Amino acid sequence: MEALPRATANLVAAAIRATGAGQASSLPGKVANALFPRYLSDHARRLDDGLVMVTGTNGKTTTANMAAGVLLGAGRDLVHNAEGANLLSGIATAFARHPRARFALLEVDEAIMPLAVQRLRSPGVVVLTNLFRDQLDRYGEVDRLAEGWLRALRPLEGTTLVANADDPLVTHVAEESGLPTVYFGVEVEGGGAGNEVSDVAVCPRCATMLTYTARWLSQLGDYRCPQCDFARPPRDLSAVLVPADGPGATARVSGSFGACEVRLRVPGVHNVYNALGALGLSIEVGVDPPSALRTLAAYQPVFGRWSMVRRGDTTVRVNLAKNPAGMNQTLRALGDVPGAKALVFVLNDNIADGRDISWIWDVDFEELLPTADWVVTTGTRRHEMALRLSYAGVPDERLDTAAGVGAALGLLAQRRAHSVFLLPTYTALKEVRATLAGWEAVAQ
Amino acid sequence: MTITAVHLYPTTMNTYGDRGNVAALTRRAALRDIEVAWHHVELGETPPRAPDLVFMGGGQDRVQHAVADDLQRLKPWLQETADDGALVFAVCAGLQLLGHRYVAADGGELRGLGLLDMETLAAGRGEWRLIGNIVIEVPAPGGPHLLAGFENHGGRTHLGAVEPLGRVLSGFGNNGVDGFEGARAGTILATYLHGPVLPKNAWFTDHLLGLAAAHADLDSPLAPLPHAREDAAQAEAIGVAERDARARRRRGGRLRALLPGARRVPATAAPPRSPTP
Repeated sequence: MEALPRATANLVAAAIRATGAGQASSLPGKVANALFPRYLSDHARRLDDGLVMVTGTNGKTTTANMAAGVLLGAGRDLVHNAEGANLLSGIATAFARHPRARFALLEVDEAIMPLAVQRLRSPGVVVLTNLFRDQLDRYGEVDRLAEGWLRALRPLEGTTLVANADDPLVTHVAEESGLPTVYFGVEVEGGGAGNEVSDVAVCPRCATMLTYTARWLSQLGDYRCPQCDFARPPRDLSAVLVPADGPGATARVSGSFGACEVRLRVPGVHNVYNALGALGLSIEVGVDPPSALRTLAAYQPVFGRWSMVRRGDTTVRVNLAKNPAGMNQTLRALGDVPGAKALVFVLNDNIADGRDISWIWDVDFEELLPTADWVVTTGTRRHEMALRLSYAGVPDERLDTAAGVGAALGLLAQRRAHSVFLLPTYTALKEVRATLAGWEAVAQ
Repeated sequence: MTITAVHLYPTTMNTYGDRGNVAALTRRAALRDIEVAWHHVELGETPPRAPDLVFMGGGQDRVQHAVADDLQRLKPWLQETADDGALVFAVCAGLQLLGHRYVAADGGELRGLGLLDMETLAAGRGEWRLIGNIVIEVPAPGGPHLLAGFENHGGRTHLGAVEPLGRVLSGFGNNGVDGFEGARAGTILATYLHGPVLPKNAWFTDHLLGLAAAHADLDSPLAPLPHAREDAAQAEAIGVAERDARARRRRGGRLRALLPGARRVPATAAPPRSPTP
């Protein structure tokens, strides 16, 4: 009987591929889950070598892909939903594609995580990346997500958390869960979050305003509650950013294994967090730290996570940016890229993007938007985005709206912009991928 | 020329792009050479005396109790400010706190300021949050004007002897039933509209600025400003809200029985009790 659900999912996947309708990263699993309610649990039971999860608002896909690279490099065979299809349907599709795997590394949507734990099995390791405001109309407040996580984690046995110590809400969840926890964190000298919106202003325990000695990204930083004894915990894995030339991020990473300098090919403090989460996960499942760090340094981004393509003398870099924390961090990384540049913002308000686009007003464009020769907005809410950027000081003569991604790139080609940065929301990524299909991928 | 403004609880009540409202007021004043001097008042802090404008946004449930407690301390000050004719503008949770009370699902009560005669009941069993794009029609001098925004609230607000801000054209409004949105009494205005509401609804920003400027005794009327980008963003938002409303109507027949509290506003929703200038 076990073969039937798998065959069904495979058949659906093949049918979708044959009709050319996208990459079929979700639909086969959706069909399998609908027809065979125990599809996920049956697969999960057969994972003799275990199941690990990555969840949180930002960095799930990159953290999980980094960890997958490390584990594959260490010779592990694994099932992994690499394309960011992180709902139960995407997870089931991954199982259908790789039915004999004995180990699973799953990226799990932060709202689905409790359900995923229930439907699959107790995970050996869960990486908690962060909790930022994102799609408030769909996910609700970050406090609600944290409560859901806690309800899911408390009853677990044999689970280790790999948790972001710099996020007060993640730390609170880890502490309250009672589970053994490996904390990771980053030191950013001087902080730098400025007056950026924080999603966790008050102590998760006693609701007193948190105080920070430094805050570098939304609520991430060195925090303490002045009222109770809640504070940033000591880090088992720690990274200090090191200024360096080149497009990536360099950090001095330390842990019980010692310390060494790692040069990532992907930029920004957010990718240092991703690497630390992946490192923590890898160490927990038995990979030795030096070899994990070597693989992490060579990590190449997947499409849409700071990936680069080229045609002629024009390069386009694409980075998904769908909430204030992610966009702020993207803008910081953009600012570090030297040379003239053009920016394309693709703002959609479909269900998977979040219908509520007010988050763009919480982005610190005023302080972080780099100087750009041209700025073009497109997507279903391009006029709202243009208004937002106009508020941030982009002059009218450099600010355009375009009907689609292709039209935006055409406009920039006319203006001889050779270095383009495309920042789409989630559903816009599909249009971007289709538009750039004929372009040559560039390794970084 | 200066407008003295207070932003209540900017760090804790800042959900859903509320800082865009502050930016809109500041910018449209600055373009007319008027400075808006913002005073940020956090929990426990003392506000300046006799401001021309007070703004309060929305926040997460966790902070709502702390804010409601702190507001009792500020109640005499806010009452005096409103009685003096200054503008008080509140969004979402801010709206709820201006009413008499918020009754939680378990019957517990959060005391409000009672500046506006209204109260809010938490979503009952089987009632959904009222979430989505919304357009309302607001009576204004020279004919009704539109406001486009986004609403996301579980609480159902019911008005007493107070005018609604406007009438719902598409979306849910105060409670999803009576067709009213927001509330106003004199220079106290409140709405559920996020979006944020002010940047793309430039006429409304100017209306609010006019009230604050009058209190600040700035004698010259506000000069007109270009608003093409604002209008394009507003038209885009109205288009999205109308498409959503049509989609809801298509699904409505089947869903209405399941969603007693989230009914589509009937086309015959009662108009505001009297036009408010």
